[in-house]
Amino acid sequence: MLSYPNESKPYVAMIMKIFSALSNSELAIMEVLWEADRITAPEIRVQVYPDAAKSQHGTVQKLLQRLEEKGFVLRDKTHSLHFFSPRISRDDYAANQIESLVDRLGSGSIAPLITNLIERKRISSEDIKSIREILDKDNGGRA
Amino acid sequence: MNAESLILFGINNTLISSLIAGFAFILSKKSVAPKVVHMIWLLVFLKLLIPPLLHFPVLGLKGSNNTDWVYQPSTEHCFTAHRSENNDAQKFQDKNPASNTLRQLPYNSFFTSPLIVLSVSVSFLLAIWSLYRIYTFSRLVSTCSKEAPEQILKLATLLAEQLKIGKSPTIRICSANISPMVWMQFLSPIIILPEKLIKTLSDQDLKSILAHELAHIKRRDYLVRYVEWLCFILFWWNPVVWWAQRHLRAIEEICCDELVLASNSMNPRDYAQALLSTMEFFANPVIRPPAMASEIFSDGLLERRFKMIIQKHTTGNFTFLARYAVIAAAFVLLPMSLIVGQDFKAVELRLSRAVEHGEINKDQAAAMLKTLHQFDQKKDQSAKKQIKDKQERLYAEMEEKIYLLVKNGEMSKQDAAQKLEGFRKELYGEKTKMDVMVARKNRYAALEMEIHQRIIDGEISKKEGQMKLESVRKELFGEEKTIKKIPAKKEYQQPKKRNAKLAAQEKEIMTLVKEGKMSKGAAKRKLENLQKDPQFKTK
Repeated sequence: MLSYPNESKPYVAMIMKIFSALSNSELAIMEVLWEADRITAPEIRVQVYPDAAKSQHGTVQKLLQRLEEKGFVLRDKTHSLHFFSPRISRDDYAANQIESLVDRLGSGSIAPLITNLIERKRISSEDIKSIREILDKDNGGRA
Repeated sequence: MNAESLILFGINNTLISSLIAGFAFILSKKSVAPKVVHMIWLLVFLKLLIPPLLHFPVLGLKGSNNTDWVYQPSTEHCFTAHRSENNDAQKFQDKNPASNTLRQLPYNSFFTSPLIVLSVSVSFLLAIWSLYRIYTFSRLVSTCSKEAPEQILKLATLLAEQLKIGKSPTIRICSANISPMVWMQFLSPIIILPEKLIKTLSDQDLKSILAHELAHIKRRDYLVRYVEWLCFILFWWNPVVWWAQRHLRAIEEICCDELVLASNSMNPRDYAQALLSTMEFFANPVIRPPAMASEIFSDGLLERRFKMIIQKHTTGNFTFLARYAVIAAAFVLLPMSLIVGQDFKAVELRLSRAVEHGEINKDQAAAMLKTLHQFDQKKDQSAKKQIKDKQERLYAEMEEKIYLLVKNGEMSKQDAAQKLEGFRKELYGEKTKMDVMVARKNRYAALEMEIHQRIIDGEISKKEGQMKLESVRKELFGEEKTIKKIPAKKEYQQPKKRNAKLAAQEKEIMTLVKEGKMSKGAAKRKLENLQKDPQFKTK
């Protein structure tokens, strides 16, 4: 899997912030998770809200819950203190963002500046089936 | 430039490009060479962007209006022409700086049409938003992709030679599961390939994919993207644009396939197989989220494409001629304006020709013609009304000013009559005899009132008044008619009380008109009624 060169991390972070399916605060938590891989809520809070008063704990919990619902975070309930880990890797997430951006710059969007070989939104399984048949028929004929 | 001309631009271009689109659609159903059909679809987009520049007198349309590329409604012409050409106007303006109403003509302010404002705002927002996306994507491409491995670059160079492209473009590999694509990165196109796909494909398949992307670059399709983009920004409201784009892309792909296969670098079957493998890769639910499956519908364009790859496809003998025919037609169609010319016979002729050649529905042609008629009528009516209102208002203002000047003794009555006449001539141009008559009557009535007033005030004697009025009447109406012959003796033999009453009423009416509380038309009518009134018996 391609991992981004370290110098590019700030750019990628900036871009992911802008086009993210996640809000800024959610993304901040994810960054911590990606770094730590398995971590508790208080530890997350310390990293995300280092100077804040204890009341930020509720905010962190809420965000974690939202991320869990969206499928980004996995909660380990085996102990009384829950552990959190990311469900989707950072690279996968970045790739997702790129893919959706490409869709938005492809045919059928306002700025159709990409010449895609395949418009992901435009292939149906019926198309593939019928094309498969056409090719097989031709193969059969030639064979 | 004004709101009306922009709307005309939009409608004119939309109409013609829709016609071209319909024509292209018909052709695409028949076995016409893809290259030709592609050119016609492209013409649809180009037509949308090029403003109506020329009106062809040969076809019976009105001659070119003027240097501006926008349609100039006749009202503007009326006033601007007179402003500069008429010497009397100049003289008049010099003497009376107060009468600058000729210069301050309020017109269809660009900003008053809400439709235009809305459309332009949305276009502007779309432009900004899409530029932002493009910037983001460019950044992502440079930071989240890497240079392609040596073997791929070598393969690309080889294929580029076969396809006769000068320089092999930059190729980048990206980890995301995006489709292989051509992207215009800062003035030059680059090819982007997804890492996973490259690893899955065989060498032969990879060759096919690369050849396809290189074919796009050879055909400069990435430039057509900009044309599409502009059209979307400006004509986002037009469904024909969306529909045409799908067809343009579909035919573009077919043309690319043709180009690849014509270069004889591979077997059609292998090429088709490579494309299918790529499609299957992306149809995989692991790659594509299941939620997207529901969005997809089959429009048969993909199937057609594969059939064309497989079948032995020989380009017809007429393709060469047909392409040049399309280019020639483009020169005529692109700058053409359909609506501005009000010669409906010519439009009808052209539409019927389109029906013959392009087999556009007769009903469609009839509907278009009907719309044109309605639009033209409405435009005519509203333009006429505007002109009339303006003229009336200006004339009334002028009359008032003159009246005041005369009353204050700053201008002689002779001069006044002359000036007013001059102004009226400018304003109304050639008018029908009846209009001229009416205008004269109005002026005569105004002067008559004034003279009466003076007689009553004792400024001039009755005889003087009579003579003046007589001379004015002669001047206005000539010797032929003796309208409003003043029954001089009769009138002035009436008791002074009645005269005074009449004069007072007339004065009141004049004041009301001056203050704007009564329209000129109503005043005229009232005065006429007063004069007809047996109580006063001025006739």
